[in-house]
Amino acid sequence: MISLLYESDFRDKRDAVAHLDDLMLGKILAAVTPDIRLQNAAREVLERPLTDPAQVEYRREIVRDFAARKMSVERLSALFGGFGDIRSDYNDEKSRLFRLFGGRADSSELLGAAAGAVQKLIELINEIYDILRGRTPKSKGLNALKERITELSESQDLRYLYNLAVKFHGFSSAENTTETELIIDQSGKISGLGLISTQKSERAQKRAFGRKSEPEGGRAALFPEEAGGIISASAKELCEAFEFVISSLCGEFLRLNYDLNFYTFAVKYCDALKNAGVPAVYADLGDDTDIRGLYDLYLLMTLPEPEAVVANDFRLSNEVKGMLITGKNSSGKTVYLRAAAMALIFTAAGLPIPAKAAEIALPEEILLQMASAERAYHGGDITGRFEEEVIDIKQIADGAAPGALVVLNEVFQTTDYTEGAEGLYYILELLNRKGAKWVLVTHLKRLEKLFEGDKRVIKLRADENKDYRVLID
Amino acid sequence: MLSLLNLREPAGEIPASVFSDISLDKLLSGREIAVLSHICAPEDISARQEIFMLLENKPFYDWLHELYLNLKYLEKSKYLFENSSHEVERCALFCGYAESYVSAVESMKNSYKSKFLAALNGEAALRDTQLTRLKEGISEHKKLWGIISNNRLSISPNGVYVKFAADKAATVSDTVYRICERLGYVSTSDNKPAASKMSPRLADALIGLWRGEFRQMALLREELLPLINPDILRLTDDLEFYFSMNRLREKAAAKRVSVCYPEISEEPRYSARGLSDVSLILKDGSKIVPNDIEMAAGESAFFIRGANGGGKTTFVRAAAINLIMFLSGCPVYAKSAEISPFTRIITHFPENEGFSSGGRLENEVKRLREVVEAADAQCFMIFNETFTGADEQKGTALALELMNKVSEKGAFALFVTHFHGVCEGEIPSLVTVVSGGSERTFKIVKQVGGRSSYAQDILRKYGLDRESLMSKIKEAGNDQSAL
Repeated sequence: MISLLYESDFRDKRDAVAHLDDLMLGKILAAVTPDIRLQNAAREVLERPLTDPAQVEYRREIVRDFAARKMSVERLSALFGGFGDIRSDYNDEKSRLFRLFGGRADSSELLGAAAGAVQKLIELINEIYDILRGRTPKSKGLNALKERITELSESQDLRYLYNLAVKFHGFSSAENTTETELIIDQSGKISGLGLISTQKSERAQKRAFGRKSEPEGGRAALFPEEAGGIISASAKELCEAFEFVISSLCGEFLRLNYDLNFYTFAVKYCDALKNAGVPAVYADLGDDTDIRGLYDLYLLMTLPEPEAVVANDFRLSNEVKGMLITGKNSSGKTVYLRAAAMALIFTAAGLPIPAKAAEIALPEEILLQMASAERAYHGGDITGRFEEEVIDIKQIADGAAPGALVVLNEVFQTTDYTEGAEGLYYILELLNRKGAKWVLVTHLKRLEKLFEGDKRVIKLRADENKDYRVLID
Repeated sequence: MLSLLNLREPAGEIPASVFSDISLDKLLSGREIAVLSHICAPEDISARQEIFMLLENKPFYDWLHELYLNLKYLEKSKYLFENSSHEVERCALFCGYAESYVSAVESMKNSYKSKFLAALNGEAALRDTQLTRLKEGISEHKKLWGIISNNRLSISPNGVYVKFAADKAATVSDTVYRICERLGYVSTSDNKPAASKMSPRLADALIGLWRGEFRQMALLREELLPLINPDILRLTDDLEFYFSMNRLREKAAAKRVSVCYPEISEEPRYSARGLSDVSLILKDGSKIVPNDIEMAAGESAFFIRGANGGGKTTFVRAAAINLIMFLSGCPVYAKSAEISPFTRIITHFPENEGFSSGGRLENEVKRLREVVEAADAQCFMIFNETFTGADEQKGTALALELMNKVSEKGAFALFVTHFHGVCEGEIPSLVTVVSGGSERTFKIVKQVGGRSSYAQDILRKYGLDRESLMSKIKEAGNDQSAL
């Protein structure tokens, strides 16, 4: 099945990155586009950062194709949205028929509706084919899509299916002669009841049995409603076959509408970066993280004067265990942390970032924990904020995998600072031993002492008097 | 009466309250509890143990399981046949019913020497002659049925025509599914709607078209039905009990919990090495710590004392459940055991009965005195925190009075209590072992004296303290120099 978000059948089974809204993700998305559908599509992708550079490149190629206006992402998205519309129209019609007949819809009518939906779906595929036929995208993803649509649209089988759908769209049990197979199983039930043919002509019944006169066997004394019941059961079976076509076609292509919503967002995001007037790059994907002249996306997208936003460097090399960021209130610590986390997350989604130059090592996973004071904690049987924070941190400490990046903002500050610092110190050591790195913004001065001699922990200080630059302490 | 469970009348009955007190009713089905609640006579304990031991042998297990499946199939086909709604269904279902009876009887034949199994063999031999005629009749019936099972209908506004169809024509839906497959959409279901009941009207139409065949089938059925004697179906419940208890044994074995078939002691005794609480196996995931138990005439009553959450209740539950298992001839979860055939089990778990509130203490005392007065060496009792409605001094006195009486009567009893004063009396105690200040080992040992209360329950709630993290860091397998 084709996906424009993942090459081959890859599907990320990890949990979504939690707490991204603590980094103002929602507001960044809203600043790019007011369209909630697009925001949701982008959020879904951003919350699942890729770890494989090949997968990132797969998306980047598609973003580039659409950003270069090789084809209209909006038009394509609208067409793929048609799969969902046809399916939901069919479901509505089905519900209407069930309501109309008091919960027992006439299968012949249902068959007509299902055949009609199949007819429309095939017409939609042909319409998409007409759009893609003349285009020459560069990305693997869009080329694969073009190939699949072409294969379907040009196949004899799809044409045959279309003709069958047209024929049964107008099926009427009152006018047609219908030949039906009837198999009685070992329990005396009717196990096979399949429609073999149906004809409008009055002589069709004789043709079906290959005779001009009354067929061999005999005439069964059935009430008309019973005969109708048999036709209805046969029609139901065929209706289910057409429903399988509907679910198969929609199953393959409906998801693409969501994928394309992400790319529609991506094009708007690229435009927004351009409008902000800052450099934007696709980071080189390597073993170290070294971002030069990085801007905070939130400020860039929301401030009336984006040029006022200060750029900072962010470097987290392979040998480094973690990064300790200190500084006074409002000195730019959290902005720095947010800018770096967002750069990693947007890169891992296949998107460019606002920076002069960048190399990024994709983390195996990104785990976030913001200060409890900035989060709405819920009551219940847990005693307090600190305990809730401990529960969250425990989850992170237990679950962190090798290669994970743990981003912590002012945690363990709801208890005695010395105790908080010492508690956190061993947690950070545990994270390192598990092969994870961490970036921590903190007021816990004792932590600086505890890491004093450790060269593999970078200590940075944010300073509002130095133009909000974050520099090595 | 044909049975795989009882050769003799039960020796006693265990009240339902015992099963709920030890929570066995939440872990086993009602049917299993019903069997377990009948205490076996010693001969039946041995005969059942023999079957359970044989079940550990694969060929025996396979044979017995096949018999069980055949009986289940017979049960189902009998039900379907007897509930058929018209002649076409009756004809169709008869063969299945008769064939499943033949298979069930044939699978009863065996060469095992066990008393239960020899009875099965004899029963099967008695039915041999009928089976021969049944098999011939089934074959004749099948030939007739084959003629009418595949038809084709043509339905037009003028009427319905039916004919027998030897060939298999492709239906339109078959074509649709084939096209889908070629387009890359493979259905995972078989795409066939569920079989539907045939209306009596259509059945009449078919009978009208094949009158001769239906008449012959009806005559055959009239002759063959009396040859089927479905009384063997009562074996199904018996077999279910064996398989269910055997599954429990397998689960225990997978968790390396020891299983044994205890000796039947002629002297009053409950002796077991490495006794485990089987309910923990059913709950899954719990750490199971085996314990020993040694109770005999002269030392047949014990108080159980010690830390909260230290394993007191688990210990008495293990004792009770394994005793019930033994008295039902089932595997016992211990390394080895020797137990006398008790005929009564009594439990008293007042918290479950709402005895804990004040005001009912006198009734409780009165009732328990009566119970103990009627007890003897074949009676096993468990008291769990009995008399908690009383203050410590009174509770201790009552507990000692009760257990002294138990001991005097030669009855067997375990009494879980927090009254520390009981250790001043003559009745010995079994206490939970706590090491390193507060760490529970779940081991129970015999102890004289020992008043320490262990009331404090230190929980390192989230395992994020320095010590826990240091040990996790150690587990991560790196050098500790940085710390």
